[in-house]
Amino acid sequence: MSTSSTGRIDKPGFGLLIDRTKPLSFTFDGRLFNGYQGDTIASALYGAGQVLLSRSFKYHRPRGALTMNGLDANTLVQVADEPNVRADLHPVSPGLAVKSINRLGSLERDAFSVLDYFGRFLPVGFYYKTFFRPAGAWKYFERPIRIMAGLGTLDPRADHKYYDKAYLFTDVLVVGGGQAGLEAATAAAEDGAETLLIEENSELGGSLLYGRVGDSRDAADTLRRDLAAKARGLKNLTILTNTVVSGLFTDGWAAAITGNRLLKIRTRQTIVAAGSFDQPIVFRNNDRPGILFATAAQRLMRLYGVRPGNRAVIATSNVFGYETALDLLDAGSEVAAVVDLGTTTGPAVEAVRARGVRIITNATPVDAKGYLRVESIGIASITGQGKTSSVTDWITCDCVLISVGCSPALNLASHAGAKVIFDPAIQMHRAVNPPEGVSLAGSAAGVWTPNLVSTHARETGAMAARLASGAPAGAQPETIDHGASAITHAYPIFKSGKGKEFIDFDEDLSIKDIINSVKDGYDDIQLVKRYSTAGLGPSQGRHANLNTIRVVSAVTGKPPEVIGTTTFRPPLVPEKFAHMAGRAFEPTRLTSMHRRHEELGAQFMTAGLWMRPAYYGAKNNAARAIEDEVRAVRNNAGLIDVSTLGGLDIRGPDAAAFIDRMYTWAYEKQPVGRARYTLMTDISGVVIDDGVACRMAPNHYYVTATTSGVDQVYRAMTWFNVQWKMDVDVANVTAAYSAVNLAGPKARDIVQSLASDIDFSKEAFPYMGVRTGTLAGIPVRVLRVGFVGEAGYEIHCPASYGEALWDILMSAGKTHGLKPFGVEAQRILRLEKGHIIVGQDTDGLTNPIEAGMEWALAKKKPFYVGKRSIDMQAAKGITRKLIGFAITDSAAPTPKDCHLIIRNGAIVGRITSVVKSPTLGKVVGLAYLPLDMTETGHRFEIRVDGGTMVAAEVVPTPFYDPDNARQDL
Amino acid sequence: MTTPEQHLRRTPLRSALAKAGATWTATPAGDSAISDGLGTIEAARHLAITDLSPLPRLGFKGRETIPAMKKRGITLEATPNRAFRQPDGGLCLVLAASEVILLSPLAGDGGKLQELHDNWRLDDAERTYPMLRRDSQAWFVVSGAKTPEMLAKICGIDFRLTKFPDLSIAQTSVAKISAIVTRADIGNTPTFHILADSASALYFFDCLIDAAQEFGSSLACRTVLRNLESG
Repeated sequence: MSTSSTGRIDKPGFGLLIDRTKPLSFTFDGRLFNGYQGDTIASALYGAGQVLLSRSFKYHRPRGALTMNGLDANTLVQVADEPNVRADLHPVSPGLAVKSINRLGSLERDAFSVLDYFGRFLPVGFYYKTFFRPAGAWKYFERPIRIMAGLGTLDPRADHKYYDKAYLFTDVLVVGGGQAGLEAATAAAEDGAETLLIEENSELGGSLLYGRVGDSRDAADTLRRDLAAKARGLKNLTILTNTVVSGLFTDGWAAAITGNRLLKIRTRQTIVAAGSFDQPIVFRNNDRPGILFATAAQRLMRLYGVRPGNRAVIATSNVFGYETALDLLDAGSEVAAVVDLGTTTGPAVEAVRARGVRIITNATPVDAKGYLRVESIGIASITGQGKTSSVTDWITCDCVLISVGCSPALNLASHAGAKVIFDPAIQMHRAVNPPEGVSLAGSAAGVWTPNLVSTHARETGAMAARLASGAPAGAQPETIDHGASAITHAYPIFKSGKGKEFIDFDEDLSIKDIINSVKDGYDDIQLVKRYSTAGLGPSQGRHANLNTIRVVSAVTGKPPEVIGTTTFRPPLVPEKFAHMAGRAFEPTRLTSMHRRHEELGAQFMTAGLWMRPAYYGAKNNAARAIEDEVRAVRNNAGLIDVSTLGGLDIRGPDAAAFIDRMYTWAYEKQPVGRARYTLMTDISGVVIDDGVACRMAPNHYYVTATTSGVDQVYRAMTWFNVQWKMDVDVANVTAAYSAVNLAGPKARDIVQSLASDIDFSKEAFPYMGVRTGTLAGIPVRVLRVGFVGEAGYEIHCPASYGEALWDILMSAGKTHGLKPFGVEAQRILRLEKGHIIVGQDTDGLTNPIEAGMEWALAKKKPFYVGKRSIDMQAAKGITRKLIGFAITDSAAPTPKDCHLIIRNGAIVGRITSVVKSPTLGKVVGLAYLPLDMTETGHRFEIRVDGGTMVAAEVVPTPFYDPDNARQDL
Repeated sequence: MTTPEQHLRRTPLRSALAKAGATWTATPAGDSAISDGLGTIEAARHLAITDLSPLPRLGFKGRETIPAMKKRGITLEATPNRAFRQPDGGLCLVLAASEVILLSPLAGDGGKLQELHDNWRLDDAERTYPMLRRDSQAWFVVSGAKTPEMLAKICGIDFRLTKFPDLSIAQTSVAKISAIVTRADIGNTPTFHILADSASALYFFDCLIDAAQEFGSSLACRTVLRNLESG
């Protein structure tokens, strides 16, 4: 049964992290459980007798906690809308609702567990060989496979949660708050370095929290307290707990996760003291709940006061297993036997023997009974590498604790560029040639013996402090620890005749799967990984890589150091997309008049980062509102906020010559006080922007650019200014100026009603004139230009005056029927006038001749950007031209932008702009057509939505006021 | 007491500040209203955000800017990314060998910057050109000991007080928009002046408030900063 009463240990020295005075309740799969504040989900469940936590990925085998440190996939659960929560790290809280995952039916009776009997139909790499024939078969397989092999459930309705990022800067970063990390960080800080110590657990100490030093628990606890107190007393040492470094990159850049925050750390020196990962014994049914690492049992006992079992068997090949036996005995549990894969010696062994525990040497577990929890373990004698006798003894037990060696946590060092090699002397991997700025300490460096750990870590910390300050490194710390060779068993892998012996718990891979990968021809460790998926699960091979290498070594006959290892890649721990996304920064630019637009009920549209009024009024009355705005401009006056238009001040003795080189038309002889249209092309002759150039003074031009094009224009100008070395200064003053366009037959009346030192009469201020002065006390630059085809004034003022300018003009225009108008109305008005919009009526290949802009090309100028290309295109001839068209049938559906023009079934052109003109009472637009279709009166067909063909006719532009009489009023 | 609407120049943050409970006083030059009645001196020492956008500031840009400024009596050196305190309490930010920004003192500059602008003549051909920084850029002050930690949430520059000394300047990206960050402490209080796109001022203000929230920050005003100044 999975719910035997393992219970709690009510003795001093057990339950460091829990507060027994604060009990709490939570649910698991709807059932109520009790725990204590400080418990994790897994510890509270284990303490309440619920050892079964999950079902495995492929075979849906029952699984329980393995590491109690967030390092395995067995403890993944669903907490509310959050999938794949690690139950052995996630704290319990009152009322927490936890669910098990990857099951059909209850956790105890998962219907998918039948897959365990069909393992021979799911051999390694089966997904490379099946489901794709016949063609189209995959879609029938995909859904059931995803249901059967899924982990947690994503809830698309999950609430948005707040995640963010922050930078952190330090001289020395120490990863890992165990003995080595604390010693290294303290030494670095004592030597003057600003030091950051990061520990993934809530308490400092690492294995000192639960393990022993010199077989003494008290010594470990005292050492931990002393080291932590010393570290906390240093002002230049910052300690972050509950934080995990997930990646280490070049140039001292480390990523760390703390709660909902991603820390982006910049450091000069990094010391990786991340400890090591336990390695399992591979034998039949080694995945049964209740079979866990000895350190997991120690964590359960010491941190949470939870008894791992009432009757335990310990399978070990080092002193740590014996120390765990002492812990169990101290906790009041029975130790049925210590099964030693070798003949370990030392004080801990003698202490266990002295307490009457049965010790079986040169033996190993080879089988386990029990389904939802281990009930007994079969022991056999070891007769050679990976070979045993038949089972000699079945020992009844409710937990089996494994301690047969470790694999140093070299992931981070590897991320940074260190090479990882296998060291046969210690049967573990080592990092060699770490990059500049990275060093290792503690077991990650291959140093295990406590006094050596201390010396080595302190020297490493001091060296990092020296390097961080720019001083020479000095002597390298000595890393040889002879004690390390007695920790890791060389081949704890025992294949049985039948059943499954798991190498990778995440991916349900057994010995046979790895052997078959090699037999299938994938004999390189990198290929084994990809073909078998060993190490690809949530544990990222922490407990699988070493045994996979050993099996590949045994099958190929090559030693492990020749087999090599797979590549460690970040992130070290699961990172959520939310961590990577962080807080969304989405800059929005608002004009100085924005608040007034809101008050007037504007519906906004985006233009780059800007928000612009599309029209004023309710969304459900948009067409009417836009028409009203168009009519107001044509009949009375309209006011549009054009602050988003780009503005550039070009000042200096070479200003005119510079403008002349940047734009296609001629500007050197442009009189002061006059504006002139500007067309900018790139070096390939493509139209990239337009606007007007206002000559404010002989050495000063104020140039406007399009909202979306101004940054590109500014970039081009500054680039060419550097190339040409002209005596001119280019300044992007877009944000410095607000602007409005006051347009319509009443526009002059409105400005003339305001106090101004500018003469707005037609004679004094003609079309394309430019004036500076004040208007109602506001300093202004006024341009008489006519994008919408009516008499009008573009009034520019310093941005902080923008709202006041709007207020004053709206107030003055009240008696003249002035209405605000938005971008939608402006698009209609300009199209009625036949004006193009660069980027809408041109594309990334359009040259000025195609766009009908020959008139804006200076023929006599020796140079402007793009001239050579345009001249070549002109000589070669163009194939298409932008023309005006009108729809001949008033009852026909209105085409849309980008609808295609069809001739004899082939696409020959496209519409760039089209509108139902309220002024003209018909549909007009601009389109690109082949040259032989551009004659006025030529009829052609447009394919609109649904495939309907609509007849149109080429007509001259402007559609409205062809004599330009109105804008010159 | 005044209101922003009584003046032709208005801060882009007036709606946000009004919502936060700001009252308004006229700027020393009387051409705009500046927020008042927000924050305390204790908050300003811990972490507080102040809008100084209504105060005068002016830029000059061009290849001869440094000598032109010296000629006008501005205290500065041709050292990019350094700020220089002016005798009247204002600041001169040297952004490059060809560009400076002049910030008014908290007490107002008596029209000095306006005078600099008005007296500039294109025809003098000095190769320095005024820039309307009062209009193009909003002016925020983030003050208090927690400022570096708070800025680390929105900017990649190391603003730790030991690494970014008084009068340092960073021209960088803050909360994804371009900004000029200048440290110019008021008394012993770490003080960072941030100039950022005025059109993005409301967005930027929200980002600052959001980043400061976990530190228990508050808004402050010019009066509080002046109190800080006078100790």
